Amino acid sequence: MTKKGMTRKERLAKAETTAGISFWVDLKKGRLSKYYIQKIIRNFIMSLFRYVILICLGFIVIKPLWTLLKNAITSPTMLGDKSLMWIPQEVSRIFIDMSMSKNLMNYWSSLLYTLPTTLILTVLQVISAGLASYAFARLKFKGSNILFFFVILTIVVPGDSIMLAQYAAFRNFDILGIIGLVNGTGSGINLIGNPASLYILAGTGMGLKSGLYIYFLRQAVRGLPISVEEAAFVDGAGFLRTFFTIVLPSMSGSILTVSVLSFLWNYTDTYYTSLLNPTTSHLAYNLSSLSGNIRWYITTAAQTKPEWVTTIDATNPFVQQAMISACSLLTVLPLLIMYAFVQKRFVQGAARSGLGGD
Amino acid sequence: MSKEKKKSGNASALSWYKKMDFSKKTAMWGIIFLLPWLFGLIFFFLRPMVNTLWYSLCSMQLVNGKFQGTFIGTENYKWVIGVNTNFNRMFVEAFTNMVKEVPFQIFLALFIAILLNGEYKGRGFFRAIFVIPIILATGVASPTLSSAEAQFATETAEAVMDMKWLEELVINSGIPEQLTTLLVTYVENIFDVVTTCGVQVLLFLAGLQAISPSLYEVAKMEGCTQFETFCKITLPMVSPTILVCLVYSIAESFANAQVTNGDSTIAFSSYIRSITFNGNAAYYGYGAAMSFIYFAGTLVAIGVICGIVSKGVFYYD
Repeated sequence: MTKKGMTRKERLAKAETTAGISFWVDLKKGRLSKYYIQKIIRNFIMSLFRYVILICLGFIVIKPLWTLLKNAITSPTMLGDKSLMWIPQEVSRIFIDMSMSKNLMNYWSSLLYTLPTTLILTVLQVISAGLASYAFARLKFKGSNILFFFVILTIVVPGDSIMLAQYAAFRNFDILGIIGLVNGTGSGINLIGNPASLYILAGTGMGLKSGLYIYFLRQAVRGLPISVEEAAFVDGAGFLRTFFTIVLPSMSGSILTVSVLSFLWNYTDTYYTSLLNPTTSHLAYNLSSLSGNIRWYITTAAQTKPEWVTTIDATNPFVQQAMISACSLLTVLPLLIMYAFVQKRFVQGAARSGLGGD
Repeated sequence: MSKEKKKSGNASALSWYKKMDFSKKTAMWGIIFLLPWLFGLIFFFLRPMVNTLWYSLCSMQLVNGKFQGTFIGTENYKWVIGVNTNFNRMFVEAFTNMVKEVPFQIFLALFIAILLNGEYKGRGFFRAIFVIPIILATGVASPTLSSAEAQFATETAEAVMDMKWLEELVINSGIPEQLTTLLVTYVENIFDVVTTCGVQVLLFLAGLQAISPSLYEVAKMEGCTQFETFCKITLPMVSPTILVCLVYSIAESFANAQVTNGDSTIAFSSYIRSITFNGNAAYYGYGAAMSFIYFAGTLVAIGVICGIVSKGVFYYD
């Protein structure tokens, strides 16, 4: 029985009586029509093609992650075994446990610090980029095209070339001497080592890859049909209202894309954190500083538990590699979990934005 | 009474706004929307930039822990272009690499995005997978990953070498040799390219999702073939995204350019950094000049390529 309570034959018969002709069945010969069979075969080949390519490319993509996982959960006695290619014969939690410990990652408290700061950065970055992109796309004024040239400049200029000057700006943070006047000292405040410096950069659209977000959102706004906004203006909506009730919802897909990217990049960023806010509570920064001197860290961490001292040999390069793998895996894991949740909304939000088209 | 007064007061306060014509209002709100960004641009981008430009025109010295520059004109630039034996060659190499890499990257990203986009079983899984390169490409876990990837790359290179007969077939087929070597390098580098085009895939996916399904319905009703649908609907509708991806890819390609330095390869940016921060403050001016030439080149490349491409981009307005 099918959904509609009719068997296949009954449906075919009904099609015959109501329409007289059919693309799906060849009425004269009493079987499926040529076109329908062609369509089935074509769809089958297309999906086969799609799956073969996706699985091959997916393998390339997943392989490094799998290597991380394999290294991280292999038992210390089995490390360096040539016969083990994909699946460890003996699984142990020891590397994961160790890398979570205080001397290495200090995982849970670092995560509690990293996630909220990253979230704040993401929100600030998306707001500033969204406002700027709408202004660049629709609210044109004299010189706005010249200003947009600077957006491209912020994408292109390598961070290294303005690194020192940016550091100096936050070492003695002052805007036109206002803060110095308020302080009464005449000099600005030191924002190095304070997450506020990162927030200021993100909120003013100069954060990590902000230029790209502005550019992308501008393209998204320009892709929206302008007639809806014009209708809103004619009906008496102000600029703010048009932006928040019409433009933002209809480009929610792009906003979500930008938010996800911003979160990923801010979470894994080591450039700005090492420059402006070098704290070991930031997971990615901590990881980058760990991996340079992993042997020493393993030795100190191993001494905190008697079982670790006996099983872990810090001089063994395989142990070092396994430990870095465990740390990297733990760093990346929250992102993967978060993306797994967002992914569905990602699809929905984007699909909804498609309905806004003319 | 007081209420009325307030109303009239408000009206008079806002009357100047109401009298404004629409284009002026637009301009005013445009500036208001841009204010945070403008603030950041001036204080955290332009000022550091101007400082760097000044350094590049100076001979720098470290006096009592503070940088002091004496103006020497274009000496630093002359040194970079005329005296330094590596810079010009490295720059040309970075540029040719970019020209080879970027079109293939864009093509592959669009291809993957189209494959990911349709309706099929397990698409959530595949979409989730193709974000992994973005996370991994940021340099978290770089030490292990790079060695693991290197190992994998050699494995795959060997696997590709087994296809030597195919390579020979292509080479002997009469197609110009430059083209075939380009093709072969593409095939050999496909693993690197897939792992670096995660962002582009994501951008394209968002672009594809924003296309109204009704357009495809119309095309179907009018009897378009798949190819026609692609050329007349998909391509124009994602063309703004292609432009974004181009800008991003070119900038990234320059920023991560690997150039030969002696026997080994080195990242171009880390070469500049090694010159700039080699412990002697006098080199800071040279480094600044180098990075200025470097990003001016990037800017010209992006300007020319995107200027050509943007002619074909489709917008609603």
